[in-house]
Parts: sequence; C-alpha cells; structure tokens
Amino acid sequence: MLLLWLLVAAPGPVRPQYDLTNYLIVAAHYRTGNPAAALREIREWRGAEVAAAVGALRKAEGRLRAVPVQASDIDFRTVEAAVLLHAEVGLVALAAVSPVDAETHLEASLGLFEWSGLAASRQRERASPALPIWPRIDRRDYYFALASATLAFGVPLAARPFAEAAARAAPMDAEVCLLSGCVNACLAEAFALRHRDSDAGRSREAAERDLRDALALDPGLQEARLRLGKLLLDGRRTIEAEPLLAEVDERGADDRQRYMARLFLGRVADLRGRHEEATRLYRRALQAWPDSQAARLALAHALERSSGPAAARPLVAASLAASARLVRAPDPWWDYPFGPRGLATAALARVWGVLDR
Amino acid sequence: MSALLAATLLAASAAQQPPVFRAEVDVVRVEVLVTRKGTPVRGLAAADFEVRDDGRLQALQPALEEETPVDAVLVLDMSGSVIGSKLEALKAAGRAFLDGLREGEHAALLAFHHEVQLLEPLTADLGAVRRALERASAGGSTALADAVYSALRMREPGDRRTAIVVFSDGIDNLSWLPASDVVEAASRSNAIVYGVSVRAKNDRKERFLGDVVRATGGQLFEASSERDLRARFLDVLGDIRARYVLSYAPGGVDAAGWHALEVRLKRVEGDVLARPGYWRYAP
Repeated sequence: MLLLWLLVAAPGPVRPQYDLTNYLIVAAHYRTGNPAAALREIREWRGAEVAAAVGALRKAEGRLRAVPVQASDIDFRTVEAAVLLHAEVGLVALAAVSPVDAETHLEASLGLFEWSGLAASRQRERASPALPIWPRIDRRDYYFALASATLAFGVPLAARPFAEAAARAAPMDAEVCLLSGCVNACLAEAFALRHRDSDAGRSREAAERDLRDALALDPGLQEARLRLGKLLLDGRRTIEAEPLLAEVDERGADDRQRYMARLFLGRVADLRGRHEEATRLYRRALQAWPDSQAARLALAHALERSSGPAAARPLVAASLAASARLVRAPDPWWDYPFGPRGLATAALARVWGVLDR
Repeated sequence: MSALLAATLLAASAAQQPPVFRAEVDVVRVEVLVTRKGTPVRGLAAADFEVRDDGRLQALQPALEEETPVDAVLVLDMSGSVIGSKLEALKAAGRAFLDGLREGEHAALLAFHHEVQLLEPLTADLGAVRRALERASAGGSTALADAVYSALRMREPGDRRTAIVVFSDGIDNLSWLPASDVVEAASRSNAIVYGVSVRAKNDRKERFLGDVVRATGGQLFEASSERDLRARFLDVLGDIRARYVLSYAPGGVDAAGWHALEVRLKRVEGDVLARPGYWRYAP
C-alpha cells in the first residue's frame, strides 16, 4: 500500500537541490555573471526554500571572507549580491502586485542585510588573520533605495519602515527627511481616502515635521519647500503655503518644480477667491510644462467659471488630443504623490553600483 | 432624500454665481425615466407630463422623442485595480453595450488612469470603438473626476442626446479637479451621466460618482462582482432606451441662471427620474 502511494504521489520532474551551495551559485551569478538568469532562478525557489538557504548561510557565518582563499570560504560580496538579488525580486513583485512574493524576497533581503552587517562587524572584532570585512552597501543608501522604490510603486505603507530605518541610519540627512516627508504625505492621502481621519492627521503632522526638518538642514532644497507648500495647501493653510510655493516658482531647480509650484499657487489663488490670478497661474503652469493635462483642465475649469462651458471646450479638446500622441512629456502631477521623479532610480543605481558588473 | 439634497446644494451653489455667459439653451430638453415598481413605463404621451421650470408650468412640444438616437461616451477606469480578469469583464461589458447601439447612433471611448485618454473620438463607426476597446490596457492611479469633466466638455452641445457611461471600481486618488467642481460642471451640461461600479468588499465608497449621476438625472448601477458588469452595462442601455425626451421653449422664467426643474405625471402613476435643473446662459 505504501509503495502504491509513493508511486502515485511521486513528483514529475525532479527539483534540483535548493541548498546553500546552489543558493550561493545563484547569488554569484547575480553579482558578476548572468543577473537575468539568477533572477529567473531565484523566482523558482519557494518561500520555505529561500528561508532555509538564508538560515543555512547565517549558520555559516564563520566561513565569511572579504577575499575567499579556500573552497569552503564564502565571499562576502556574494552575500551582498544575495541581499540585492532578493531586493530586486521583491520590488518587481511589489510592482506586479504579487504581495506574497514581495514579502518573501524583501524580508529575505532585509534579514540578510541586517545579519551580514553584524557578521562583518563581528569578523572585524575577532583576532583573525583574514582581511577585515567592510560592507560596501551603505545602510542609509540601502534603506533609502527601498523606501523611494516602494513609494514610487505606490505602496507608502511598505515604504514607511524603510524610510524610518533610513532616518535612523542618517538622522541629519536632508534628503532622507524629504523622502520621509513624501512617504508620510502619501500615507496621509491614502488614509484620508479611506476615511481614516486620525491616521491621516498623524501622517500629515509627521510629513510636515519631516519636510520642515529637511528645510532646516538644507534651506536650498526646493523640493522640500514645494512639498511643504502642497501639504499646507491640502490642509487649507493657504496663507502659510503661498510664500513657500512662490519661492519655488521663483527659484525652482527646473521646469518641473516651477510647473508644480504654479499649479499649486493657482489652487491657492482659487481658494482665496482670486480667480483671475488663478487663471494666469494656470496659464504660466502650462507654459512651464506644455503637455500638462492637469494644467489644461485647471485652466479649462477656471475659464468655464468666468466665461461659461464654451470657453473650456477647446482646452479639454486639446488635452484629449494630446493624450492620443505617442510622444509626450508625462505630466509631473501624475507621479507627484509617489516622490520626486527620478529619486528612486538614482537611489537604486547608487546601491546596485556596488556589484562588480 | 439624497437626490433632494443634491438638487438643493446645486441650486444653492448656482445662486452664488452670476450668469454672464452666452446662451447655450434655446429649447430645453429633459430626458425622463418613468418607472412603476422598478419597471419602465412605456407608451406615455407629452400630455401625460407636467414640467415646471422654476415653478412655472411649461408648454411641452407635442413630439415625444422616445426613439431619439443617442451619442454614447464610454468613460472606463483603466487604473491598476482593473488589471487581470476585471479588465476582460469590463471589455466584454463594453462590447455588449456597443452591440446594443442602433444604426445612426454614435459612440466614443475615453479611458482613464492617471491620464485621461481619448481612445476613439465620437463616431458612427462602432467597429472602430470596439477595436479601441480591445487595445486598451490597465495600470496606474485613478483620475475619475478629471475624466468625467473631460467627457462633459469634450464637444459642443448639439441636438443629439448624450449619455456618458462611467465605469469605475475604485477611489479617485489623482484628479486635479475637485469633485465638487465637476459635479457642478455636470449640472451645466445637457448630458446624462450613468455610473457603473463594482461593490467594494469594505465600506469604502466613491461618493463622487453618485453625486454627478444625481446632478444629471442619471442612474448609478452597482455590480455585485466583475461577472455582473455586462448586465449592469445593459441596464444602462435599457435606461437610455426607456427615457422620454420632453422639450419646451422656456416661457415666463428668467433668461439666465439656474433653473430648477420639476417633472410630474398627470394621469398615470409612477416614479419620475429627471435632472434636477439646468443652467441657462444670458445671450
């Protein structure tokens, strides 16, 4: 009977060994060889197999080396590659709305990162003839990259612990404060949409604190000024918001910042009953970003208010015509809630730059 | 009760704004749905209706254009929440709706996520609209209010009936235009807005769609699941087909401003659904 069960239950193709040896081979491929193949391979591993391999690696701490000498030595750079391998798979899973895979791999990455930092520290403290291990992945950069990427994917709840860890690693870093402010502002919006008003209020307060800290550390950080202005505008604190946004309009680093500042200033003017000024500001926003759908619709509605629906139609028609064009500059408003454009890309490139590719 | 509240709010907001625009309404057209126990009542004549414009009884034109062709603007949520089987169900529902349009009727297709995109302008070539629908893909945030405003103002008002059919399964999280402004803009439009939504698992509700539908005298249809979408789109079509089109040249009322409408049945019993009012602009 047992034999019959074994025959029936026998799996089809035999799965390869999901052990530490193969795990390190995959990570080594990710570091220097064929990252695409490594990514494909690690996705085949089940969550329990990943956890087992990571557990086995932690037990082999004594074999970690900065430069491997013997066959049994584990190259620390391969461990760092495993940290980034799991982070990449986790982030891609998050973007693909695969929360189970995202959790499996982001937890593996985090666990490995925290452990490997401590393991390197312990190795350096030991009287050892081997070369000391110095991690190449900076703590601040690692958490900053994960926070900015998860925020860019529109998951502020996942971004918050990473942003908090980045702030612990670099408490006096203006860019970290800015990112933390973006995460909390995005969370506030998400809570508000779900009518979780007290959570929204707390997140809004945290965002304001973060953005004010960012400006205190770096008064020239216009992005923080822009976002603080928008946050105050959302809270109908238009008198406080206006000078901040006006300064960004005047001294903004680029067209994107000037465009956003004018768009927000238009809303400020509208809320304060200065409708003609709002119309002028929306026109100026459109000048700064000619493909902007938000500015076109804002202007259309402003003209409708002063001159009737007929005045709005050419702008709406232009907005829809622009949407049919294959080549157009994406409206910065579309990704505004998810952090400064390009921040995540730059942060990821900085961290992944440690790989010897 | 909520419809009454919406009408009151609209009237109140209208009262705050001086009408200084050119005329857009020479003949007022009111599309009316009459139901008895939820079933449309057909076969009525103009004489069965009584329309008051700002309280003044109006002389209805004899023609009751029950079969007036419609221009349908499909406004479909293609944000990230629709990815997967829901997108396929939505496409099937859209196809069923287009299949129900008649010779001489027009359709347009707008999709929205973070951007409002015109996938097919208003056309009598319904095959082109079907092809555009098949090509549509999903992803991104939800700019529902911006999309509804774009649909309301995408073309000049004409003599044809316009039905704007909006599908959204989520919460607006990116529109630039405030929802209240778009509801007010809807009250200035001759189009009827219909909403189709999918019932949320939790208590999260998108109030905007209900408000904009009420402002235009349309209806909101709620699907219990994505499998139910096709039936709800066909309900919209059924509503469009069951409407009576009443028209009159306004008499004895102010030329400009917000006009509250009241539609009643005279000789028959039934529930009446029509827009709560309309804007008339100064010449």
